[in-house]
Amino acid sequence: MNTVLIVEDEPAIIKSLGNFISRLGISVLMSDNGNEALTLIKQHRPQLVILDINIPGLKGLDVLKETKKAVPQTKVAIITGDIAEELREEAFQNGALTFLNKPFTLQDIQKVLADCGLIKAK
Amino acid sequence: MNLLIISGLLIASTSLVLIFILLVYGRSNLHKVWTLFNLAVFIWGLGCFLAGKANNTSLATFAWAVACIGGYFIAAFCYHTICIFCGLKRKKTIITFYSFALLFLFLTTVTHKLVLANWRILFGSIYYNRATPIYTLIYIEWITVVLLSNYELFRYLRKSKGIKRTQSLYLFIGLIIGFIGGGPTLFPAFGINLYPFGNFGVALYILIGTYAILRYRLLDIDVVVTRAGIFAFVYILILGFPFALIKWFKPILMQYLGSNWWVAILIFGMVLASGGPFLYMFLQRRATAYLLREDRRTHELLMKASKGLANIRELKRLINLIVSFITRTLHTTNSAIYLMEKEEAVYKLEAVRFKNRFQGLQSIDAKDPLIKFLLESRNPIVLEELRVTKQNGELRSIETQMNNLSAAVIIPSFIEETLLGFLVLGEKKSGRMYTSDDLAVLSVLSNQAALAIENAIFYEEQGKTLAQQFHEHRLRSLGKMGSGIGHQINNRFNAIAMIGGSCLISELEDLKKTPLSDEQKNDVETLEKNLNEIVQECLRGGNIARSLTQFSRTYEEFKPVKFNEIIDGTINLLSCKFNTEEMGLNVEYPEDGPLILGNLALLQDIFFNHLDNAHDACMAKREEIKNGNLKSEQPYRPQVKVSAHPQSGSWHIEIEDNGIGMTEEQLDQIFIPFFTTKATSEKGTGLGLSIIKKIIDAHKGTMQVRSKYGEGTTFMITLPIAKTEVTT
Repeated sequence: MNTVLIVEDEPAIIKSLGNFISRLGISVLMSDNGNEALTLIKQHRPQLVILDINIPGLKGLDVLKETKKAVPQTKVAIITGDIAEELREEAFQNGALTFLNKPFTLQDIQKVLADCGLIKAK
Repeated sequence: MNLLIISGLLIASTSLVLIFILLVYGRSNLHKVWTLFNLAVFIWGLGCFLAGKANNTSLATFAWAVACIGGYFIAAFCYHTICIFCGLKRKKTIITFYSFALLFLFLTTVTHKLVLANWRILFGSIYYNRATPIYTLIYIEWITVVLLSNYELFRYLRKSKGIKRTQSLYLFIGLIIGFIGGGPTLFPAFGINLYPFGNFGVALYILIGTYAILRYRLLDIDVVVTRAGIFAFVYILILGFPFALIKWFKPILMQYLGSNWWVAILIFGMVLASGGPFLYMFLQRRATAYLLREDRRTHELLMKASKGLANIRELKRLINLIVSFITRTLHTTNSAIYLMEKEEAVYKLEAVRFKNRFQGLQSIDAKDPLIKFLLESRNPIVLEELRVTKQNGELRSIETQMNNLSAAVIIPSFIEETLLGFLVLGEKKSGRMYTSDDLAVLSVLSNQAALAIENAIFYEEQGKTLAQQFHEHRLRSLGKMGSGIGHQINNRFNAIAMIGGSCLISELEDLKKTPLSDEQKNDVETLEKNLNEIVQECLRGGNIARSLTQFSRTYEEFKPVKFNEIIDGTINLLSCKFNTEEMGLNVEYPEDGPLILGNLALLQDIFFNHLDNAHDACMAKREEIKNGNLKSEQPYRPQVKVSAHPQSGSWHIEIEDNGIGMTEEQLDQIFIPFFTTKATSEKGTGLGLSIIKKIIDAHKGTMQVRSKYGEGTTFMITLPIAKTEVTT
C-alpha cells in the first residue's frame, strides 16, 4: 500500500492535509517532530514525505539528508513558511522532489502526489 | 628764567612720555607716524627751552633753528597722522609737505642767515629774530598745512560716530589748543610782541593726547602709564634723595664724618636702591588693583561663569545665557553668538541681545573672509586694531563685515582645529576700549563655552540617537512578534485553504455526481464559488502573513536575493497599510533577472519606504488639488511606477510618482535625519531617507533623486548584481 508521511508541527495543516490524502486511498502517517519522523521513515519506508522545514527536534533539512541516506527511493516534498532562496537551493541539492511555499493549495499537493505516481495525473 | 624755558622743558619732557608710550605699546602705522609727530613736538620743545636760555645771538640762532625744524615737521607729521587716522589717501600731498619740511630744514641749517636774522631781545631776556621774506613764506606754508590738517580732522569728526568720534574729538581739541598755543610763539618775529604764554598749549595738547590714549585708545594703556609713572616716581626718589642730601646735608655730614661724609650718602643710596624694587612692586600692585578694581570684578564674574557653563546641557539655554551674561557684565551695547552649521557650511546666529540695535546677519558663510581670518589668527579680532593697521582688501572686507555685525570685538571658540562658533560683542556702553585683559578673560570664557556647547550638542545628539535606538528596538521587537504571528496566521490560512480545497475536490465533486434538483444545483454552484473565494482569500492572507515573517530577519546577513522576492514582499506589506491600487502602482521588471547581493529585509525596507512616501506624496497632491492650492488640468490620477532592469553589473531601479513633489529647499534636506515634509500626525512612521541612504550605501548602491514641486518625484537607485550566480 502507498504510504505518505506528513511531518508538520501545525495541527491544522496536518489534519487537513492528512484528511485529504487519506481520502485518496493513501495510507497517511503523521509526525510533528523531526526525530520521530526519521524513525517512521526508516520503519515504514513511505513513498513520499511531506516535510516542513521549521519543526521541533531534528530540523527539516537534516531529516531530508538522513532520509536520502537511509531510504533513497523515498521522495521528499518540502513545505515551508520561510522566504529564503538558499533554503530552496539546499533542499534541491539534497534531493528534494519539490519545494512549496506556504500557503500552498491542494492542487499543489495533487501535483506532487501525481509526480510520485501515487494518484493519476489530471 | 623765563616762561619759554619752562614751557619748552615741559613740552620736551611730556612729549617724551608720550613717545615712550607710543613706542612701547603702539602697533599700527598710525602709532608710528604719531610717534614721529610727537618727536617733532619734542624737538620744538627742546628748541624753545634752548631759546629761552640763549644769551647770545649765535646760541639763539641755534636754538630757534632747532625749534623751527621741529615746527616744520610738526606740520608735516600732523597732516600725515590725520590722513591715516581719517583713512584719507593723500600720498602726493603728504610727500609734498614732507619735501617742504626737508627744504626748510636745508634752508635753516645751511643758509640760516636767510631764515633767522636781525636779532633783538624782547620781554627782558628772550632773543627774537625779525622775519625775513623766506621766514614769512615758511610761516605761511606752515599755517596752511596746519589749517588743512585740522580742517580734514574736523570734517571727519562731523561724520564719524561711536568711539571713533570720541577719539577724533579729543585729537581735534588737543591739536587746536596746541596750535593756537604754539603758533603765536613766533609772532614777535613779525613785530607782534606777544609773550609766549601760549606755548603751554603745546604741553596741554600732549596731556589731552595722552588722556585720550588712556581712555579711548590703546588697549590697557592706563595700567602702563601708571606703571611708568610709579617707576619714574620711585627712581627719582632713589636717585634724587642722595643728590638732595649732598646739596643740603653735606655741611652737616662733614661736621660729623669729616672727609668720609660721602660714605653715609652711599649707604643711604644703596639702601634706597635695594629697597626700590620692593617699593616699586608694592606701589604698582596697589595702583593696578585700584585702577582695575572694576575690571577685576567683571573678570572674576566672567571666570566664575565660565566654570559653571559645563553644567548646562541644553544648547539653546546655554548660549542665551552666555550672551545675556556677557551683555550684562561687560555692559555692551549688543552681543550675539554664531554657531557652526555643518551641513550648510554656514555660521548661524543662535542668540542675540539688544535686537533693536543689532543689525546683524542671520548667517555667515564659512568661506567669508572673516571666518578665514578667525581660523588663521585663532585670536579675537578687535575692530579698532583693524582700523589702525595698514589695510589690504581682505582686512577691509572683514572690517565691513564687522560693521555689518555691529561688532567691536569678535571672539572665536575653537575645539581643536574646528571653529565651533564665535561671540560678537558690540562697543561697551561706557565708550571704553576692550583691554587685553578683557580679551584674555573672554577667550577663556569662549573656550569654556566651546566645550560646554560641544557637550550640549553631544547630549542633544545622544538624546536623538537614543530616540532612534528606541525606535529601531521597537521596530525590531515588533518585527519579531510580527514574524511569529505571521507564521501562525499563515499556517492557519494554509489549513483553511486546504480544508476548503479538500471540500471542493472531494465532497463537492461527490455531491455533484448525485442527482440534484435545480435548487440544489444552484446551492452547490454557490457553495463552489464561495469555497473557491475562501481558498483564494486564504492564499492572499497567507501570503501577506508570510511577508511579515521577513521582519525578524537579522540585518547582518547578505546573500543573493531575487528581485521579485523584494518587490512582492514589499507590496504585500504595503497592502497591510493601504490599498495599493489607489496609488496606481505599476511594477515592471524582467522575471529572470540576476540576483541582488543584499539583505532581503533591508532591501524591502528601501522599497517599502519609497513606495510609502510615493503613496503619501500622491495623497498630499490630491489633497492640495482638492483645497485649490494646486491646479490640475485633468482629474488627478495617482501613478507610481517601479521599473527595474539589470545593466552593466547593477540593477537600475526607478521609482517614479506623480505626487506632490518637493521644493528645492526640501530636496536639499531629505537626507538629514528626522527631516520630514509630512504633517506631524504622520511623522515617525518611516525610517527616514537618511537611513534608507545608509542601507543603500551598505549595499554599495547609489541613490539619486529628482523632484519638482507639484509634478512628482523620481528616485533612481542602483544595486549591484551578486557576482556568484546561483542556479535554481
